[in-house]
Amino acid sequence: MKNSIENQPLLEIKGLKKYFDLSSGLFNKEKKFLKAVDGISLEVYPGETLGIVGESGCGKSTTGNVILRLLEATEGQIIFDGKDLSKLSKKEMREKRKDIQMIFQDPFSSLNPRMKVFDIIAEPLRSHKVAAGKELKNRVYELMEVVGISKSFANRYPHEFSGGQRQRIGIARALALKPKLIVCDEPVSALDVSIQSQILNLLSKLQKEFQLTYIFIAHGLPAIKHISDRVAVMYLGKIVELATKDQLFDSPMHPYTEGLLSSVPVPDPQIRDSKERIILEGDLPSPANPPLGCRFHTRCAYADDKCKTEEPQLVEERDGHFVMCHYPLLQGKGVLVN
Amino acid sequence: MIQEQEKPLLDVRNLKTYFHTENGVVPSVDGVSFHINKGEVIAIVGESGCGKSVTSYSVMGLVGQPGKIEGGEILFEEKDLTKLSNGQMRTLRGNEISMIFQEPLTSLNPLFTVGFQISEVIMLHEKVSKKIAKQKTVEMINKVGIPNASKIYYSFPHQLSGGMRQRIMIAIALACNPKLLIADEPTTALDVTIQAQILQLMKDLRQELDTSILLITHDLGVVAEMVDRVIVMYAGQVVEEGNVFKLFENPKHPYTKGLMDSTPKIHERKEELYSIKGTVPTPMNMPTGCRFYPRCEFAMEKCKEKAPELLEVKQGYHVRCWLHEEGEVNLDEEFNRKPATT
Amino acid sequence: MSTNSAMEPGTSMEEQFEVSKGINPWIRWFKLLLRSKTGTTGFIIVLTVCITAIFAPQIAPYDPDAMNPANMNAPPVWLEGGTSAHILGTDSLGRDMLSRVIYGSQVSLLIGVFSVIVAGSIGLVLGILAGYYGRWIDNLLMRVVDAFLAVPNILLLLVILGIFGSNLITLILVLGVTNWVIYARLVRGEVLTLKERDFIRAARSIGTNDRTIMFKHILPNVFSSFIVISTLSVATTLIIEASLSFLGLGIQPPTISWGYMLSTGRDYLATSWWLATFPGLAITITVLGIIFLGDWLRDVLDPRSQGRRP
Repeated sequence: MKNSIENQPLLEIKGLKKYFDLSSGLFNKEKKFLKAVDGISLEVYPGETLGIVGESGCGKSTTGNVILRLLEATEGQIIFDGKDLSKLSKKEMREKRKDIQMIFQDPFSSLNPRMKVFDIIAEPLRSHKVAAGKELKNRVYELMEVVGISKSFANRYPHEFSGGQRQRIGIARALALKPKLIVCDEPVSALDVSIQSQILNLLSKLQKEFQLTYIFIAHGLPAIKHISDRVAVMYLGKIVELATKDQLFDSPMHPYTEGLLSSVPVPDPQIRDSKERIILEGDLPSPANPPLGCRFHTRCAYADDKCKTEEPQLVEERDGHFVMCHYPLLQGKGVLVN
Repeated sequence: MIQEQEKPLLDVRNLKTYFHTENGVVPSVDGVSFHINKGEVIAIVGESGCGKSVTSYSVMGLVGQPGKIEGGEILFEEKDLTKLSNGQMRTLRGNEISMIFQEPLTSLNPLFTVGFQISEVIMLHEKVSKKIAKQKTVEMINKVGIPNASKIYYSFPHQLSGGMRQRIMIAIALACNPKLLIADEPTTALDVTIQAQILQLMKDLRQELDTSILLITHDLGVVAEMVDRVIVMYAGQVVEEGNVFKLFENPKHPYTKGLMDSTPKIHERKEELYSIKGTVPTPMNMPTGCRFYPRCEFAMEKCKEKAPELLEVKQGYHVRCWLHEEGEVNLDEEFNRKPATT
Repeated sequence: MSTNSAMEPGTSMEEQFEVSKGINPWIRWFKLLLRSKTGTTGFIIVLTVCITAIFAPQIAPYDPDAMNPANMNAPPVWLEGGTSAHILGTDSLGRDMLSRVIYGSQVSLLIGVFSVIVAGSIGLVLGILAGYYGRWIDNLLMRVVDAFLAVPNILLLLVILGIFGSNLITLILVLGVTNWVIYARLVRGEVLTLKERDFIRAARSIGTNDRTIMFKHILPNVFSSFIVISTLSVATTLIIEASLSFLGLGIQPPTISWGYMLSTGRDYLATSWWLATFPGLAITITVLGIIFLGDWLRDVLDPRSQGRRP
């Protein structure tokens, strides 16, 4: 799984941009855009999990939605299995959707409250006419078993289940068409701690069992660290650092990543006083009005005049370790690993 | 660090808060006892539905219909808050006990400037003139780490970021120098870099003002950063209570241990996370005996039949679990003795 | 064990389910109804009116059109001069008031129910289309709605009825066509919020086609607020029908409706007050009953009260 870097990428994103038009009114000539995703490029290899992490407004969820064409990209290419998704017609795209599925954040809003569990899981199979009758029934029961929901609950409605169980139903729905890639959009952030680990373990198990590729979008670094092979850190619509998990967590090269790692509270009171904290100052700037130059310079302790005027590029500083910074950290403070 | 002999600031005894719903009575808080000493920071930890928030609302006297405090005492400086009238509670709230909430946007009135909302509290409780209240307000805004206070005074909540709004909420809560601050998931809605700022602010202010803090949270990381003593709740009851260092080093209740092991940690590498099997029981199908036994790795016959009491296993350290009935047991050793089930 | 454990014993969702299992949904609905005083009252009133309308020929003591010149403007039984033969008295042509009120329920209900069905269907379809597709369809539809709202309803009714004349069918159609905008606006708004919900995005991500999304995902979810507005709308329609009769553009004799009776009775208000009062009371009580029932429906169908749903 780890040496899959040699393979052809399953998904390749090139220069992806998604702007939302903020200008309103008939007579407002001045166009104003919210640049939710502002030119990102990345590759996802078969069998790996690519984590995308960032704070609110960084564009991580928008990226997920654009990949599935739930939102249309403003610019850029999304090449999946050799085909540019953004150029497909509506019909071709529907066909392609079999291969790319999504798991949503909120298990309370991602299931139609007026549909039975059976119908929810059967929907993708019916939509694509993959199975019917007895075969459909068997397939749905099989899926329920795979995600750990007893098939005796097939005739229940979503509100009769707890959050974790609903998320399992959502996962079963995503698995139904045997996809190659699943975009997980914050799949555990709405769940309780003890349920989070159940779902994370389930996702890992399924990945091995069905050779799935994941894009795992989350704001929680511990979950990202647990499940990802490689991690992209996003800040205000840009990828600021992209590296393998070990590289990123052991020696982050972007000052933002360093601060982000440092701000995660560690569940160990022994180190609370010994830990040298890097607390990033200031607020997240609005993505509608990002700072000029390096987007992070307003909160960066290392910034100088160059950072204020000149925008850095994403450069491969070490083998497979990309960073967007004029002065990448050579000895960035990672987190202790034991 | 804390003088155990002193009378506690808040002493909750056998608190019972029940909700009378159409589907029957829901005992959200079912016999909870704990205390907070002067200047102490404690946390109540638990998952959704464990009763941690209802406990804090009960202390504030803010339990709304159909909830009701059915029994127990809440002694604040030896006054029983459950016996006070609404009017008496009002003068106490915001003055001696105040609260900050998870979502600062909904807790601030969108139609008034933040400065007005802070000075309103000061004028109400301290009966000072408008001018002095404004002065104090600007001081407070400075104190919670917002630069440019005299300008922020005239801002409306929607003009501020989430982190700023939470700072304003803290300013309102601390405006009258309360003896007790209840913080209900104060950083859950915030981004992690902002969370770090707010936690730091709360630590600094606590040093400065000597306010006791009751932190309600589900995040063990936040607990480990902030508090002196931890109370773990499960299904409406306290299952473990003790010093934060001891509790994290060696949790005594299987639930606490499960909670810790199932939290992914940023400084650890693990192939598979531990997970507590099953889900939290609903009030309608509460197990008899120990409420945790159906999910417990260590469950014995006895656990099924008889509900354990909160036992004191060592000075100031309590656990509700039969394992420790005949003296303290180390869960890790106990766990290794059993054949591994995961 | 870690993954397949959501249904471990002790979590006992099974037990929880047992409660709701196996009970006839109709009986559950009925039990829910009995729990609410207003709901029960509303239900009883509406049921009574419906039965009265359906079995009018069996219930009414007289032919509603049978005149009796010998017994004109007889007061109700409890007043001086009243007879037990005509409990609610007689009108200016000596026709039995009770029978007329009973027969009047037929037309009033027909107009109320069917015009709402007409208006509701138009509004539901257009609202879903506009809300789901957005863009120019939405723009066009909403401008039409604005135009409808800008013209006073009663004026529109007067013009159309003035041109086409007034009979039962035209009245139903006209009331339907002038009222659809309420539904269209409501449904469109609901669809706009529903569209942002994850389960709609999920359906799209699966590759479900638009038609299925609208029918299977959106329609059932707008239906509860739709039903509620509809019941309330039956009530308003009854009142509009009455006011049209007042203006002489409602139902024409020999057909009887409550509204028509009310408008003819007003000439005798000073001498024989019962001529206008009883149909008026019938309208008031029916409208109240429907409103009660609608209120109850709103409570039970509200997704926030999911736990209480059958």
